[in-house]
Amino acid sequence: MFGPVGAGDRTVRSRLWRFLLSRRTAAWSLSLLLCLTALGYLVPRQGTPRAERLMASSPESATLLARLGLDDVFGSVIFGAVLVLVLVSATAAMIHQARIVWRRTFRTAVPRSEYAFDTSCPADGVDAVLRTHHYLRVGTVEGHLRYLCHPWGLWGGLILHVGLVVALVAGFVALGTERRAITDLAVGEVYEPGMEWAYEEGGWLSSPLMLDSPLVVESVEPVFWPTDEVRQVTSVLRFLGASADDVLTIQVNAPQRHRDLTLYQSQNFGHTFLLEVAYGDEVMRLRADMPWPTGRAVPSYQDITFGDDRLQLRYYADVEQEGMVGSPTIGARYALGEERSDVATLTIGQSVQVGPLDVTLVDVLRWTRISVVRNHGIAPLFTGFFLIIFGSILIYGVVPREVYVMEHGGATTVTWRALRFRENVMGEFDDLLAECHGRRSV
Amino acid sequence: MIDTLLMLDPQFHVVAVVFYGAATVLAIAWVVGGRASLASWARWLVLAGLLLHTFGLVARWTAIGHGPYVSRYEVLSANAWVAIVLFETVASRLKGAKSLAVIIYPAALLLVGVGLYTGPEVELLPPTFSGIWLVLHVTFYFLAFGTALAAVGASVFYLLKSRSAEGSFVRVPAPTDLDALSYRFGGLAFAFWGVGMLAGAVWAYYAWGRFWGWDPVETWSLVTWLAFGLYLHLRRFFGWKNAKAAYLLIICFLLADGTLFFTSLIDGSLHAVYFK
Repeated sequence: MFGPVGAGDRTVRSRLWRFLLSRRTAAWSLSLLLCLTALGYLVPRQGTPRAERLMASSPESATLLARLGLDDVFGSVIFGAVLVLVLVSATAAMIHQARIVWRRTFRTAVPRSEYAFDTSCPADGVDAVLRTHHYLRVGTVEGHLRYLCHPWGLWGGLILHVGLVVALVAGFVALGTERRAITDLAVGEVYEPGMEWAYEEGGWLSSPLMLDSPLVVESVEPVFWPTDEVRQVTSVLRFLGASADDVLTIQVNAPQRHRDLTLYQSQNFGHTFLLEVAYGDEVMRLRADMPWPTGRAVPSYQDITFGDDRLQLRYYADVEQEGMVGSPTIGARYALGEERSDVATLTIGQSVQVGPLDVTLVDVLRWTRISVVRNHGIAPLFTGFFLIIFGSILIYGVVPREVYVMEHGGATTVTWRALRFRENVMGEFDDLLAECHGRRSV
Repeated sequence: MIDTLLMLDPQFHVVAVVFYGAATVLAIAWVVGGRASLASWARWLVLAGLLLHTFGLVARWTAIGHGPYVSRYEVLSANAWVAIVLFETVASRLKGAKSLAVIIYPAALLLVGVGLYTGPEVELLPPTFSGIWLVLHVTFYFLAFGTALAAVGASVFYLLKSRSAEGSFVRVPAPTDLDALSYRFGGLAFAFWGVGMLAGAVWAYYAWGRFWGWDPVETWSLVTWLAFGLYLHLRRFFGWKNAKAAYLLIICFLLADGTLFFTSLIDGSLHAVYFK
């Protein structure tokens, strides 16, 4: 099926190889990535408040941007294509770098360096001087003893490119397979597997997120600073039907794992007010998940509408308004157009009349938002980043140098070379010259 | 005790600013051709300022129980502190780096001064501000800023030296040395910026359940990192050097400044909650 490679194939292949290794390909793909990232910020992204504001103020522009695919640059085919180009080009560069590094480390020729001197000091004496400068003897080349200082600096470029390839591949895997979902649960409420999430999104390779057993929130405990700002939120979660080990305590910035899922504590929490509202002959059971107020004297509000009628709710964290944690209280009033009834305060079990509504507060519970995430490829992604950074530090922080030493006719010739940033380490050649009592070669 | 420490903190900072100012004047006098002892005096003054600056930071840390990474005052002060420490550590080891004091000292003065102007009021830690990843995130951005500052200092000196008459800026090293310094510091800034971004992504993962959200700060941080990457690529493979490279590095530095100090003020950024 596969015949011998013809001359034409070889030309195409070598052209492709040259294109991928070309410095222009890398420069253009980097520049494109940079411009697309900046564009992705400048054009409001779909689903964000900025995009909604643009749609409200200039629907024509918003529609045009959407048609051009500019409202989601980071999810666009062009952005993906540039990333793939960077990946393929980086892979080619990595192979190329590996060959170069191998050659530079193990197969080398004595350089024609302008930095050389002759000394009457024997090779052993030069060896001792070089060792004080942290040089390692690595072999013999064309009759010269070869020494290297910071040889690992040679490997920086290769490590950087390996990191780039690993990070990009892992990034594609992570993006494609990540799945995230959100649910708002009150204490004691059970989230059954398969129930609809409040919000769910995922990569193109991900399957819907499904819990393996029912989840219940056992408690939600916020802690506040004296200034009423949130200090921490702690929730205790239990997976029902599972072992006792599946009781998880999560906090903001301290998620927990359950099988292949990670559960996060959100900063969204508050009280759930369960109400029974009688309106004429109709009795409705309503639920208001209200966010915890931002201050002890600052209420949270929520409106519940039935056609033109509205039930307006006002909630304080503490009935006395003396702290952020206490007896939560709710005030209710009826509104129709500009007309509003007086506010009636409710306690559990109490019924009040607000306008035409008969409102009973059945129960008050705490609620919290839980994020559930499943992802793969994160460890390799960070390994890739680590390699990029490690490689960069080796390139820019470490200057590899080599010295060749050869005895001839009672004298020793020492040739010194810095493999980059010669300007910053040239003082070392002068030190070697002085310490070996050498005479600069012409 | 806490009130005393909080009262002492800005006073230490103010005195440190005075020392940094005096050191700047002496460093400039040395660079334009003054006696060699001026450089030594400048260094002693800046070290004295650094000691006071350190007292201020430690006093504040002890009083409020967290590191200098929440309010703008703390962030600017820590940036200045890291830049000075980094510079004083490498200046004696790298040929020609000593003259960059003329850029680093006034930059530290400016950072602490602006920090004092924004006010040393204490901001309490929100629940997301915890963990080692946050500490690594801010520390590496401080290091990235310090190295980028040194790189831009070398680039600015390169432009000044290469355009000035023979015999001026005698203490400043040769343009080729400055060019190499700016390249190396630029490379290190790229590496440190990368670590800062990486640690920030891990922190975001623990705090918000996502590594990357295209937040304005995240997006511009990536743009800055790519810009530094492009700078290094152009230098390495296209042979960019001298004035062309110096101008590009200055653009990268301005981008980094914008990302560090201004994008966090943009509405809709998670960082805006803490820095506005």
